[in-house]
Amino acid sequence: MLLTGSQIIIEVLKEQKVDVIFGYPGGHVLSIYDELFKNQDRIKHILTADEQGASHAADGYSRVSGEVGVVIATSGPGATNLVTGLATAFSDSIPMVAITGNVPLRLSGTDSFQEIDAMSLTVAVTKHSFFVRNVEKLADTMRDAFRIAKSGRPGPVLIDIPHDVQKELCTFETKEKQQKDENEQPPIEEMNKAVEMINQAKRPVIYCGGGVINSNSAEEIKKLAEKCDAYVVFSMMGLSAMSAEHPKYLGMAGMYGRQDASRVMAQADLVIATGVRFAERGTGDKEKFVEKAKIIHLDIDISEHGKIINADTEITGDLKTALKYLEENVEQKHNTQWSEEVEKIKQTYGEKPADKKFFRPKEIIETINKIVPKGTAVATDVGQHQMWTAKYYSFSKPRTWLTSGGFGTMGFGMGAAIGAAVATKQKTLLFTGDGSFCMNMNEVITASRNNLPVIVVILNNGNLGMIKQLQTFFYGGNCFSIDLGNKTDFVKLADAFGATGYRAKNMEDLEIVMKKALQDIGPVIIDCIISPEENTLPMMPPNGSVNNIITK
Amino acid sequence: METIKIVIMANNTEDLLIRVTSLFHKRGFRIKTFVFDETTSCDLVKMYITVVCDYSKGEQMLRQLTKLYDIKEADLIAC
Ligand SMILES: Cc1ncc(C[n+]2csc(CCOP(=O)(O)OP(=O)(O)O)c2C)c(N)n1
Repeated sequence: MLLTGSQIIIEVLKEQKVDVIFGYPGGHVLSIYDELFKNQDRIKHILTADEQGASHAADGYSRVSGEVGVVIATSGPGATNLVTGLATAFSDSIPMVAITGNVPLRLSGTDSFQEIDAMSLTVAVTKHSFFVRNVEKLADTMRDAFRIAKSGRPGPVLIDIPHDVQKELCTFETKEKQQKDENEQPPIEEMNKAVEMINQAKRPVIYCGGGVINSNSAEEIKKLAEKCDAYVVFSMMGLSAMSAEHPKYLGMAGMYGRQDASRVMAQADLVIATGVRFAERGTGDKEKFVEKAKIIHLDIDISEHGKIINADTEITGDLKTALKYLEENVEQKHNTQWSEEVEKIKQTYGEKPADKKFFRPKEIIETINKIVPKGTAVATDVGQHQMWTAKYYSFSKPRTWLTSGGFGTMGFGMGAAIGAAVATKQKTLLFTGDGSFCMNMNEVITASRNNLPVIVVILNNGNLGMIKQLQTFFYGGNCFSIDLGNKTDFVKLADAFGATGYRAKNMEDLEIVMKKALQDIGPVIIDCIISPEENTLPMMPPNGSVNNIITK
Repeated sequence: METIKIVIMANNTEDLLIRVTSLFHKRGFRIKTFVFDETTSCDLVKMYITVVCDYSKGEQMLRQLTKLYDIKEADLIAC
């Protein structure tokens, strides 16, 4: 078959079973857009408000579906607008393919209009990037991009395609969907060592990271926890790997985590760290982190071993296989004494129950949690509201939690929620702050245009809460550049953007509008007015430990 | 701290150098010497890079390098 470069792009996307892409047109992708126009029945293109939004949407789509998210942008400013989205996906190991157009080869290297070296630009924020000079290499390069994005430790890949390459003709043959590379098999000796360590342990804890979600190993974690009678603690990225209702679930540990979770970890004699990279927000001072415990570290990426923590046993390879092996080979344990101790820690340091008299973040999040259907996808932006959601929302299944854990990208949420709503076609929640929302609220337009059922809950404290909190505790209360002095009326704004807007000032309001929001069509914005003084506590200071947790 | 030599065999792609040097920068290394050479196969090139660091940091760097798509082989030699 003789096809143009742009036709090849469409055919390879179809070959990879891509049905939806997010993007924004421009001069040097017009040839591709012309093919998208002709193939509207085969590939749905969702036009966002800007390319950053499109990149977060592709990321969100990938997080909930487990498929590779695809984003397309033009050269120059289109490509630079993708950078934050790529970096966000890279930090959280999310498989994504970004396609950019570039100036025709004859203009390449001449500083021509909207020219940028997208490949160099994205070296630091992608797993790999390609510049396609030759149309004959286009199809296989794209297949490679999909393979790299989803193989091993996933991540974003960029393909930069000059405009003339998009128009050139070349023979094309369809291939099967690109499979990912076989994961490395975890070594038996190391796994047996781990089995031995687990059998000996009296106070085991499983520490779950995003790798558990990526490898679809939630079931294996549950089984292992039950077999070796271990409690399960999470990094921010690992949340949702186990139902919060499970008796062994302890929630997120670390800087803004649950105090009981961090304290239980500190008392453990064995930490089984699975698909987690010991980022400093989770561990605090690494010298003081789980001082009493031996560590088994399982990860698909060998470079995570010894990067921050030197584990006693390192298992590199397929997480699911390794967890299955451990579960099948460890003895059935009953660590009664450990359980009693943990229950005591939970009683002393656990979260106090919500009190519906107040209209506080905890009460708001827990109430919404109860009203929405189980398994609803939940996105956040970055700040206090993110930590509150991580702490107070009870996730019931994997791939329902979308947050920028590694990169902490304010402005991630709205795009991510759009991606999730497109993938699931279900109501999707976004918890955001008034600061973060202002970074990406242009994407409400996208949600409106496409009638996407995103329910945006703004925890509106009138300021950049997280920054205010840090200035209060660590900069002598010099709170500066945090007051948003909000004159913005988010309810009217919803209306202006073609969405539905509500305001809630107390629990009764919230329950009423939340129920309405579930019936409404298209996006809904609920502006929840909360106190500007709320903090997200307890907080472990940067490089701190369980010994210096700040509680008030 | 010691001088460590890293020897790399890689596909001769146009983006190879920028990827390798940017990775050294990202991980906090300062390159002391750098040799980039052809091999008998025109598709492959060899690089000899020396840095001053703890051996364990060098090992970590090696693992990061081997993740690069175009790197076929990388070894660490303490000099
Ligand atoms: C793009 C970006 N810029 C700056 C920051 C630094 N930052 C982290 S949290 C935060 C404040 C967030 O405020 P808001 O969205 O209102 O949430 P709140 O903390 O009040 O819940 C800022 C500025 C960031 N994470 N991302």
